[in-house]
Amino acid sequence: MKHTILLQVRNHAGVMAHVVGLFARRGYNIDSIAVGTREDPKISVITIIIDDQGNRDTIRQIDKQLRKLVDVISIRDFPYNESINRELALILLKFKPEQLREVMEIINVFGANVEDMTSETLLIDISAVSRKVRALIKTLADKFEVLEMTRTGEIALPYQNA
Amino acid sequence: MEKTGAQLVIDFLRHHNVEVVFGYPGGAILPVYDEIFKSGIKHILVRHEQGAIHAAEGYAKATGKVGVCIATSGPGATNIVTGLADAKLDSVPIVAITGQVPTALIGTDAFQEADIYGISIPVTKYNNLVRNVDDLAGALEEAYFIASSGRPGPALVDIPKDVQTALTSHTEFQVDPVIARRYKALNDVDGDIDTLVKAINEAKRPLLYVGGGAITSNAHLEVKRLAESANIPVTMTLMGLGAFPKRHPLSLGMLGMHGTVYANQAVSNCDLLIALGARFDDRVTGKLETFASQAKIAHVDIDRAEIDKLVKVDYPIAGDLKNVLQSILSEVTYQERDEWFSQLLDWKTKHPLKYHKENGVIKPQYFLEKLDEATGGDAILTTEVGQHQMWAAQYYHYANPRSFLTSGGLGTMGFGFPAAIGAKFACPDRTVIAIAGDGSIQMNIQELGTVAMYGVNVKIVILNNGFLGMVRQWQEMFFDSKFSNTHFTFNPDFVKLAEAYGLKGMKITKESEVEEGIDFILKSDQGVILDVMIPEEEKVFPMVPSGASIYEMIDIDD
Repeated sequence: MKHTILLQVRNHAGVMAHVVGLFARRGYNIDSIAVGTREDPKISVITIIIDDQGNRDTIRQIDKQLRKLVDVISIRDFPYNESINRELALILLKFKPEQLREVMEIINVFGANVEDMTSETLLIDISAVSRKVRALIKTLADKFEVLEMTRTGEIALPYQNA
Repeated sequence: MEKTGAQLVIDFLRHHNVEVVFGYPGGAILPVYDEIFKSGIKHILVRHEQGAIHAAEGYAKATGKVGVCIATSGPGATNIVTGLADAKLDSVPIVAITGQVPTALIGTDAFQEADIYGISIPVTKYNNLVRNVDDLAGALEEAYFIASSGRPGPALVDIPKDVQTALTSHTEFQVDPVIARRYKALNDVDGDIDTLVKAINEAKRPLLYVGGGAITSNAHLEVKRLAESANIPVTMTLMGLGAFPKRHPLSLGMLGMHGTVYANQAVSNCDLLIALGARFDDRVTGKLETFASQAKIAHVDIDRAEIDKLVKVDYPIAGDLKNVLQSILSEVTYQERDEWFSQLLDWKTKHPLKYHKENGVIKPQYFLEKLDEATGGDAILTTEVGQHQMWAAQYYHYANPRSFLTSGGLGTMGFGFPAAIGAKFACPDRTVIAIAGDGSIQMNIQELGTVAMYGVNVKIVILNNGFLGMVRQWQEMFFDSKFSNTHFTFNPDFVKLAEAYGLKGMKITKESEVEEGIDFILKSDQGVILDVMIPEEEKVFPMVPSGASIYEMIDIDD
């Protein structure tokens, strides 16, 4: 089962090394990680998505180990489906002139945006849940040529209504 | 008033009444050493930085206070890494202060530059590379606070040379309040004490499994009161030795790989295993699936992450052991448990710890028995790692906590001798004996120079079999006696070596010389080496083979 972990940490040069190193040392695989500062730049928020591979104890142990890190100010974890998750992807796509209509349809269906365009390339951005981002990427890659691509990893906040 | 970074380091040591620091100077830590020179802080100059940190560990383990060591950048800093890892696994409060190349040179592969901040992340509880002198006082204070609070551990503060000379008006030793609050909460008691008390009072075959946390928490008196007032037998881990008097009628000695048969049988047959400040290490549990399989498990530990880590716990209580035990003590009731104790007595009678004497040669077990007799179980023993360590655990009857200083978790050869130096500085009135093998003593033997220079009255006993004995034992038992690279076909003359340092030495080869040898070291008023020749074939028994259940022990006559 997938979990979202939200960490608030003291923002300094070594904090990511501490967090990521803990996961590596104890053999926990990270699906996705994203980081940014809060309104107070002394605090960073790290969103980590992990899969417990069916072992419920894993997430409890990760939680307890993370709490021991000095820089961790707060930690919350919740099942993946109890949070609103978003990921941003930028995709540089190559297309043939006769494919323009088709590619624009796909972009519209997914609610993605075109940020830049030449006669044979499109720079596309999408902000969505990871599954949708992956679906767009797969659809585009099947039909056209993906020249370059970069993804942010997911960020998340829990729903407030049950 | 403005202070330099180097002055702040001295102020910090004074602020915490640090009596002694162990260290080794070098280019990037020169400004701090200049202030040490002016300050009159007691600084022990070792011969290798590893010696400094193990001495600081010995000091900390003997007293419970924070041990402090200082090293320069680059190789000075990397030389303390083993000690940091050792202190992390054995929860030893250490503050290590390292010099670093000037901030402008960090990241340029400068002379004697090493990323000790990055290197030390996995082996410290806290570390900090202080790039701005305004942050130094806070960083040092956080290091001290975190090293000594909750489950103790090592902290490292890396100070670039220019930060040591820069001036600051931030001279208050204060912990970030966010960190202080969060850490305090981590150490609050959390768990259902009433349910645990009920389980203890109802248990037919309970057993206390006492680890190093009982010593760290200064809970040895509470452990004794619990054992006596509820009438529960006690077994200790290697790190827990001394937390409960081994000669006490309720003591079953040590459990685990080289524990007693009866302690391991007790674990395997008890109906309630009460783990107090212990962490279910693989050397204790053997095969996890069959460990204490008839028992409900209670676990009291200050580190929440230890609870449910390896063994599913039925009665979890997070919190400081001393506090928790104090609230349990008045609630537990005395139970006779006749059946349980007669079963234990039967195992004790049938499977005592034993060894065989052989025509006048010195058996290491016999030596330790005699040493125990001569010192009344009241000396501080430090050990290296290997057979001698296990014999010292089995055959010496530690009467008090903080008397057996050993590298348990990391298993660091080279720990014991410098740790003995640190312990002697901490406890000048106690007899401090470093028990070593001929292999491990040579890992930090350069510290004989420190012993000689400061006149440290540390007694070194080398149980000398000319082999890396524990590895040899495994090779004999599990690798068809192919003794690959465990035989020291050359060893120095340890007596002459002692003499070369202006110390005294003595070599004994016969059982009849043991008492004379022990008398020689105990009467000596200076550092001394006793080279005890023991047979190479002698093995540590009983033993749980790797991966087996702890009730499947191989004993000496099997």
